[in-house]
Amino acid sequence: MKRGIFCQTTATTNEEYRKELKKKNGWLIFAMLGAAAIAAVILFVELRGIGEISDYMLGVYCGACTGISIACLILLVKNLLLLNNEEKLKQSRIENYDERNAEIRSKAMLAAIRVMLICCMVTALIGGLYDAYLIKIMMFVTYVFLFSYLIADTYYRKKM
Amino acid sequence: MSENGDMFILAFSDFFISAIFYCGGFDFRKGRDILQTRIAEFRKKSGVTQEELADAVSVTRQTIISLESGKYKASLVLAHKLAQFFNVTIEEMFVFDKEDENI
Repeated sequence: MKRGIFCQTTATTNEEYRKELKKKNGWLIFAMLGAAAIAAVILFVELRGIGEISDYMLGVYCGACTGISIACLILLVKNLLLLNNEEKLKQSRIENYDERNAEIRSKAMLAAIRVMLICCMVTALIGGLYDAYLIKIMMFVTYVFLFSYLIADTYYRKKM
Repeated sequence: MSENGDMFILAFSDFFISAIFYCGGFDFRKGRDILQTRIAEFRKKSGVTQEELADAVSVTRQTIISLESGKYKASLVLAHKLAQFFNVTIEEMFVFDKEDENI
């Protein structure tokens, strides 16, 4: 069964859902190859001695890119298995189309955003005592959130 | 005061204002149960299982369970689908307690 934050669908038939999954598979392949390419470039730069990257950042880039590639590969295999099984495809479509599940997802997302914002504030206020740079970063994150919210709010007010 | 100290006070006040905005978004009120459903009654009368009903209206069985127990309130589209399935009106399927609301 394929479930997750970005799995919601508006497809009412298996055919529509199949098309949607195929489109998602394209994006997964793109993300997987993109992440693998970034890791390859970073390793190439390091091994050839073209640029200087700290060991820590090298680990971060390679780890993140490998993680993204593996996650995309797993999702891709899951999607391909779903596409070959009509019954499981229907179950997955209903699971992701279901309005209660959609509401649960948006409520969970809202709760996570609140926790994240509180963590940002606490980190900035406590961490700021030790390093002023933390406050700058957390303020940036907070303002990105606020501006994104205002833009999205204006957009949906016009759309609905 | 040093430049860093000034910036800290400014940032602190900014965050204090932001915190008020965020807290303003919290809704501490609890909704009252004013919508009752007769889904279970109609389903049992028709001899339909929860699984069959869920399949017919394209939702999960868990959604039907939540609807029947009143934990979840159906959208207009789902209410319409359910009413259509049992061949009744939405008003017959869902009982709206008007006395509790200012309408």
